[in-house]
Amino acid sequence: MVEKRLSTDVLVIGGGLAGCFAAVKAAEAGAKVILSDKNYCGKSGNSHFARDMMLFREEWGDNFKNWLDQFISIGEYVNNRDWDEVIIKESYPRYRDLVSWGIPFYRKRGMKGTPGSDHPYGNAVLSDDVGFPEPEEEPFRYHHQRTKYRKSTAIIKFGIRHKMMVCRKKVLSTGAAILDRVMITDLLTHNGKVSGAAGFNTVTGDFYILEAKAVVIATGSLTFRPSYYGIQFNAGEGMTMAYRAGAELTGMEFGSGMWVTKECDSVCINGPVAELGMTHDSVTNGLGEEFLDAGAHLPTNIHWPLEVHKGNGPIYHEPYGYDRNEHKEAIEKYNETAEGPWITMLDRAGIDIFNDRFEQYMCFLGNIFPGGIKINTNCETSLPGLYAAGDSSGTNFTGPTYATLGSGMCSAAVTGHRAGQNAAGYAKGAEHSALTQEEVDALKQRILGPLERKHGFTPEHILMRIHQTILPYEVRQIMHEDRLNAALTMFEFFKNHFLPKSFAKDSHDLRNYHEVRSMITGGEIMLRTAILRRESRGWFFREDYPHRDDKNWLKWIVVKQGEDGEMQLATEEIPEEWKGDLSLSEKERYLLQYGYGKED
Amino acid sequence: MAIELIDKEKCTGCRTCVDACPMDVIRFDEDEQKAIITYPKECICCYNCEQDCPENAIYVDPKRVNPIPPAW
Repeated sequence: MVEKRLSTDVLVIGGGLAGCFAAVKAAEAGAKVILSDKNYCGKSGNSHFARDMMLFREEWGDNFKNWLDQFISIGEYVNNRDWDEVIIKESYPRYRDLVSWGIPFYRKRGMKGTPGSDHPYGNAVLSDDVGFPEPEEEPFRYHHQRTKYRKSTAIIKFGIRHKMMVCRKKVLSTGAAILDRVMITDLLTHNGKVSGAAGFNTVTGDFYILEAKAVVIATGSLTFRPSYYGIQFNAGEGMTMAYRAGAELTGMEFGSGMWVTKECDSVCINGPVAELGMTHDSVTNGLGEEFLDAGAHLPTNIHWPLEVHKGNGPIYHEPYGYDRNEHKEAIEKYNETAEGPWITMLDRAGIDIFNDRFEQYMCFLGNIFPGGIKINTNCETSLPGLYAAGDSSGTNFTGPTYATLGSGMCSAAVTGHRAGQNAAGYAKGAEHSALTQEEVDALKQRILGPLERKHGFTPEHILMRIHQTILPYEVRQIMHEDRLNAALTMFEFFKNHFLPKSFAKDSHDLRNYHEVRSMITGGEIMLRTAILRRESRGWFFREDYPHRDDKNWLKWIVVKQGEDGEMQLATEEIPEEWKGDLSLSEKERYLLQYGYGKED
Repeated sequence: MAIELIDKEKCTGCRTCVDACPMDVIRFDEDEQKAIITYPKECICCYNCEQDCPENAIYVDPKRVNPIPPAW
């Protein structure tokens, strides 16, 4: 094991879109920058697997008030309107940044795919008209059509799969250094300020100490390596290292889910269904009933598990029945250009998406959209010198539900930009603080310690127990205090018993150990905050408190580690002017939810 | 199951798949100058490697080695 010690003005942890923006903007502001990623920056992050980005521009007919209204109706009054405004209004300059970096976008809607390909946003993937739009030229933008409340936002499509490689080149062109396969696990603090971070190379095993005047965390969300495609590396290390260093987290009780195919569990079929315009397909329950409105292809996090909870499962995808030979070209193009060759994957699993009826379920994804390290609109956390961006940041911009397609990429770009600029500004007035040998030794022990042990519980075993505890629908989808407490008991056991007795076989396994360590802390936070919120709101559904409680719960939950190491939960009141008209009935206040899934 | 094959005959040792893997499943064999499947249990079936391989040397099966318990 080699010990490497590097020094920089700004350290960016995570090389997805938010991290790349932070690195580029900090370097452009004059800071010396290092970006680290536990994978390979350019292929890493949820961003690599994303295809859409929300894009607002008044000149193209967008109305800010309508957009904000959409965020409020989806965010159910617990969305942060300051952040909504920033993210919506800065989407255009960030999109222009991406075009200037060399990322092309779809310019026109594509050709027809399958019969019934009247899907309002279908078939963009089948267009060849990909390029670099002029500033005034409106690229191909589509709108959600299915529910009138998601209609305002407009969404663009990245024109290439390798957009993150373009971002990598941009990062390097600014003079910033990239450390690939370096997993950061712990923040360094000095006199109440962040002074750097430490970790290791997952391939070589080298130990890294990175001294930095400011740190930006852009490590994505906190998931549990669930089913569903391309998010399994989001183990929440950024959030949990910030938490351990004393920063506040917010919105951690809110979670998300995605429908996946039971026999091919990486695959979420809404991609092919939407892109190929398979609008005649339907979803049925075990009784053969279409329990959702026909064509309801948005994630329906509560509908599905509730239907199963009632005893009406399982849930099936019922295809309309297409002659796939007629649409060979469309299918091939889709497999080539989409975020994953999902149709090929289904074929290999023995499922014909065009003709077979097959089972699906809703998988709990952790907090992939909401929640994270609490930041103000300068991306400052509660810890001086620490900034956060992207999914790991807690902006609360979308409240307890997913705002719209492409909103994650948009917020990654906007928060990354702001975090990078502000971290560079902070670094200008800050000094490096050196670690004592004692501190270095303690860090080494904490980070590399599991390599010294040769027996006990493997990270693989602990991960399996985490899966068995938190993934069943009745724990974090259809919630109840008793079941949340039961899961919390198990997570406390994992923390107190499994972790101290676990070991890592090699530097690769050490990554697994630290991911599992993070999931245990993150899982405990998610469960404790969910127990505290005694109401239902958005995708947050408590069977024992099935209604919204506007009197008591127009609040955010903020979590912090106390001096004694105990988890401290507090609530923060939503500003009065954001609460809406409280004299209205629930039905009037929550029009979206009462008309969910209905056409205009 | 999961990543099953990196065809040694076809692999040119370009390392594209090594970089593309978000789970550190594929490593590079410096002696043979070829990519090798090292930690197949952690393959998440994201298909980055198969899609990116310029030689079509990789085959990924969509089922994971360690199954994940479904929600119901």
